[in-house]
Amino acid sequence: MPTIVSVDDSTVPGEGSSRLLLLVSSDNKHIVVEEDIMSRSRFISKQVEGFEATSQRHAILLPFSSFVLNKVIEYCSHYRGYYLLEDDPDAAPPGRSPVREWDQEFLDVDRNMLLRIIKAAHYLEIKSLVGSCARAIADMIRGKTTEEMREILGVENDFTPEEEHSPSSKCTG
Amino acid sequence: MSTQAVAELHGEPTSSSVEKYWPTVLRPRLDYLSSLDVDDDRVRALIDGDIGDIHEVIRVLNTCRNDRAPISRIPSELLGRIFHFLSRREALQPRTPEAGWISVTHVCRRWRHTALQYPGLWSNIIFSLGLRWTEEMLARSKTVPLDVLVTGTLRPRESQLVIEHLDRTEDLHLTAPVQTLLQDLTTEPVPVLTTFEISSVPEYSPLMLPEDLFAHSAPRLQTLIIHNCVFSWPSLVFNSITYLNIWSPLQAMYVPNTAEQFLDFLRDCPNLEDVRLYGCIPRLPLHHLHNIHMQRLKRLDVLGPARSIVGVLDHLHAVPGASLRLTVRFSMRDDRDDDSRAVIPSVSAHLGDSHHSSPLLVLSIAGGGARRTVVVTAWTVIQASETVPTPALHMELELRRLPAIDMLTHLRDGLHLGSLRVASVDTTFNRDWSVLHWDVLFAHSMDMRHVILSGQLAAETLFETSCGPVGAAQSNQASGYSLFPSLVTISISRVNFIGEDHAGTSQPPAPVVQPALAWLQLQCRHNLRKVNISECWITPDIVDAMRETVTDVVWDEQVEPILSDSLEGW
Repeated sequence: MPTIVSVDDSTVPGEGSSRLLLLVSSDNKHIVVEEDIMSRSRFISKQVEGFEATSQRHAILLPFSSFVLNKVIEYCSHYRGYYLLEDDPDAAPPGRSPVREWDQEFLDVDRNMLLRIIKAAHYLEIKSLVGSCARAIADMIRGKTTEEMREILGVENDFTPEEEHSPSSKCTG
Repeated sequence: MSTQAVAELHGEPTSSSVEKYWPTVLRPRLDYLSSLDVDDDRVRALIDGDIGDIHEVIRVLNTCRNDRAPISRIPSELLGRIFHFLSRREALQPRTPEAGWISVTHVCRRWRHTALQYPGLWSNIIFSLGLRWTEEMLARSKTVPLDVLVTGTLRPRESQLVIEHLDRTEDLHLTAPVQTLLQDLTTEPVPVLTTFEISSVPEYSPLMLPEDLFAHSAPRLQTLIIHNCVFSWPSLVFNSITYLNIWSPLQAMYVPNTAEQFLDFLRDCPNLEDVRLYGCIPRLPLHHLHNIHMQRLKRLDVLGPARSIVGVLDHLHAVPGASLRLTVRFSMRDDRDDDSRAVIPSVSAHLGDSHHSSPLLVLSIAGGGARRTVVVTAWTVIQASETVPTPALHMELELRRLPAIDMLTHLRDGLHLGSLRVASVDTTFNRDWSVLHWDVLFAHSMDMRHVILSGQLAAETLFETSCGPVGAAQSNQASGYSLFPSLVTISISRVNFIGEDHAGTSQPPAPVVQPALAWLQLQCRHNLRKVNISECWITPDIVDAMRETVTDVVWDEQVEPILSDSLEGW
């Protein structure tokens, strides 16, 4: 569950054409962002609905750093007002969304950052960003051998000898 | 206080414990094993046990280490999603399984567990790896919708598996001699099937589709692709289909459908948006049987004899905005009635044409490759973008026994090209183009603003339209005649301005520099302001000479012509 804290009105700038939200990162950075920008996040949208019930403005504490949060806000700002097929679960079965050039450039970051972004996108329930990150990670290991995959993503072989040679493993390639 | 000191304070095992392991635990153990006075097999067994224990310790440590890897911090469902993308090809074939992804199950325990527990990864059912594999995939896919791909002959048990899982099959692709399986497809409804593709390779006899395919119950079927099969139109009536693609050149030899059956099919499939019919239309009567309203149609492709195409166009009613792609081929059986020109009036009616206001703004003319054809593409919009908009019309017209000039005259008069603003002529694959072709086709296009030409022949002939051969240039210039008095821009590609033989051919192209400069001077006296040059053999001197005449000359020096491609038209 996210942590929600009450904030003083002075913390959040006054309402304009789009309401403002205060997002607080795990490194305690306060980031003010227009609600419209973050409306792609189902998590944020649900939080905002909760605010309306109490007529009190809140800050939303998020469990990732301001560096990651700013990347997510950059993504949401870029697609502000756009309809993205992948955000509509009825319209886009997983794996069928088109590759967007901007996303490829946006996600041209190091491996660890990419993993942090996908985790944040998953937490914030931004399906299109989760899909783009998953595709980018898949592209990292596409066509690679098992050893190369381990090397790229920093994991070790932890199979028991029995598991390595189990009958079921013969049906996995 | 150091980290290690803090750890020792709390009694936690530290790395120093591991360092002590050798002198305090392992060394005495080795000494003990050395001192044992038993047979060697017994000692080796004890050592093997110790090695196994150490391997297990390493394995457990590896698992602990993996738990701390960044990739392990993401939830399993995200990891499964990544595998899902890995298992599919992107872009052109998004639903085709990609070999090799399966190696993720050999990376580590968590990855294997995740892959085995993610049913969507196992939903691409194939039979080429053997029955055991197929059964394993079906089991692991649990209840998710399936993509079933059959590319070879099936054994009875494999056919049985296809039938057993039809109720959750979303995509079914049969590209093999599966006649026996087809008969079984008549008994089961397919409640979630959205795509059905069946094609028989040309080496085999065409597959015969059963009359009662899917027991006439495929409520979600949207995509129907049938290649080299024989069918009756009533058997294909699934009113949810939006995309239909049929290639069946031998249809008439096996099951000659009637015109009424074909028209009834179109009437009973009102959701069709994209219809591609290649060689499978029955001959339709010239008199109207009844009009078919296809309000959702966005694209219609038809390949066949002219009379069949005319029949289809004349029976379809109200497809404004739909893109037409027509390929006229003379009938193998009887071409007495076939004449490519007959198609043009029907096309004109579909484009919403009238004698005084043609909707066509952009026209492209090119040769059709191996066959003697002319390819006409036309748009009703002018859109400056990197992606070419969908044409309103694309026709490939076969010119058997018909002079090209006769066809162009018919095009000009039938499509009413008076509103054209942009024209493209590509003679790269056409050896017949002449000055007369320009004059005939564009005689009424007085508002032409942009001409795009590609190929030596196109350039030579265009520059002669007003300048004539070099010797006659003066008199034509003096007259001031121009075929395109409103022309603002000309784009030129794949033209050899130098005249040198780059290809070692026996007949090098004639130099076009002087005719080109004379033509540009003439056009500048009208409205010409810009010249684009790309993929041409041209020197900076020639470009400079052009710049003395035309305000704006853009020469893309970076794009070099591809010699082998360009030779065709020379």
